[in-house]
Amino acid sequence: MAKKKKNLDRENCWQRIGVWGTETPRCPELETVIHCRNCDVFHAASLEVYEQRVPEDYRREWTSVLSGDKDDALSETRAVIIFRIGDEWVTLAANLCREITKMSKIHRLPHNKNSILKGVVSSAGEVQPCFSLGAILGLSKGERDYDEESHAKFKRLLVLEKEGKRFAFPVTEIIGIYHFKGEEMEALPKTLSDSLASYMRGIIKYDGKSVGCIDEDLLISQIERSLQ
Amino acid sequence: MLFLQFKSGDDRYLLEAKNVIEIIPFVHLKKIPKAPSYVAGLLNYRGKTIPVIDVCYLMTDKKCEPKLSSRIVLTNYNKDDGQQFCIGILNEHLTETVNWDESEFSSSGVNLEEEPYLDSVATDDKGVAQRINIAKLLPEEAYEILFKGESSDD
Repeated sequence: MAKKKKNLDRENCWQRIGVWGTETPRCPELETVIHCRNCDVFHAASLEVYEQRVPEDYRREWTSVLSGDKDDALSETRAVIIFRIGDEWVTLAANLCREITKMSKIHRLPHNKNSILKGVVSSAGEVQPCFSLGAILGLSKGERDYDEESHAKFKRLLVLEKEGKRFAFPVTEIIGIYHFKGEEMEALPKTLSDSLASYMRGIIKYDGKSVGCIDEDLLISQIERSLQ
Repeated sequence: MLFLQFKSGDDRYLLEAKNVIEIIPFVHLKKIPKAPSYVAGLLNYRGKTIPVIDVCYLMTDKKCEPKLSSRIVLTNYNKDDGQQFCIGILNEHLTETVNWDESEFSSSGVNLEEEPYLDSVATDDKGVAQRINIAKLLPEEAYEILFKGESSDD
C-alpha cells in the first residue's frame, strides 16, 4: 500500500515539476540529473508503458511486416535533399550534406574572375567558399515573379562536405530529405538544356514536381577545377 | 560486453547481444500442435520459418503474456557439434540493454540438471543478474522436433 501511495505522489511529476512542467518549486532531483530522462522515476514510469497488452492491430501489422521481404526496407533506398534554385527543383545526396543554416552575408572577394564563386561565407564559425549552383548548372534567374520579401525567408545556406572539403551554396528553398528507390528515377527529358542535362543523373517525381538529381561527383569536380 | 536484460519476476537475466539478429515484437506465431509447451510457435521471418522458444514457460511454467515488453529475440548460435541454428527467444520484460564486463561474472554455484541454460552470475547494487546460455536453452528433445534433418547453413 505504501508503495502504491508513493507512486501516486510521483505520477506525472515530470509534467508538473520536471522539464515538461512549469510548477514551482522545481524538482530538487533536476540539480543532479539535469533532465527527467536521466531520472529513475521517469525511467520506471516509462517501463510501465510497456506493461500494456500488445494492441491486436499492432501485432497483426508486425506479423505481416516480418513475413514480407526486407527489400522494402529503407536501407534499399537513396536519401536526397530536395531544394530549389530559382525555378528549378533539384536534389543532392543527403549524406554529403553537412549543414543547412540560415542565409548569411556573402563576403565578395576582390578581383574574383571566377563566375561560379560568389565569395566566402561564415558557417558555424568557419569560413567556407560559397558557390552559385545556378551559375554552374547554367540556370537563368527565376522567371516566376516571386515576392522577394516573403521568399527571402526561405533562403538557406547548404553546406556540402566531401573528402574533408566543404562547399557552401545559397539555395532558394529547401523541402527536406526524401527517400526513393533506384527504379523511381526516370531518364531526363530531351527538352532539357545541355548544360543542365550534363549535371543530372535523372529525374524523380516529388509532390507533383519533376526534380532533377544532380550528379554530386561531377558537380564537385567541376567546382574544384574552377578553383585551380 | 553488451547484454539484453529481461526479467522473470523481480530477477534479472542476461542474453548476450553479440549473436542477436533482430529484436521484434510479440507477433502472431503459427502454433505447432502437440509440441512441448515451451515452443511458442513458428515465426514467419522474411519467408523463413524460425521456431520461437518461450523462455517464460521454460523458467516458470507460465506462458509469456502478450505485453508490449514481451519481445522475441532472434539469435544465431552454435551447438556443441558446430551446427549453427537460428531461434527466436520469447521473453517478458525485455526492456533494456546493459553493459557488464566478462570478469564480473562468476559461477552461480548451483547446477540444475533440468535447467542447464542458467549460466554464470554477476552482482551489482540492484542484486544478482544471471546469464542465459543460449546454446543450452533448447532441451535435446526440442532439436529432434524442430531441426531434424535441417541443414545448418540456411
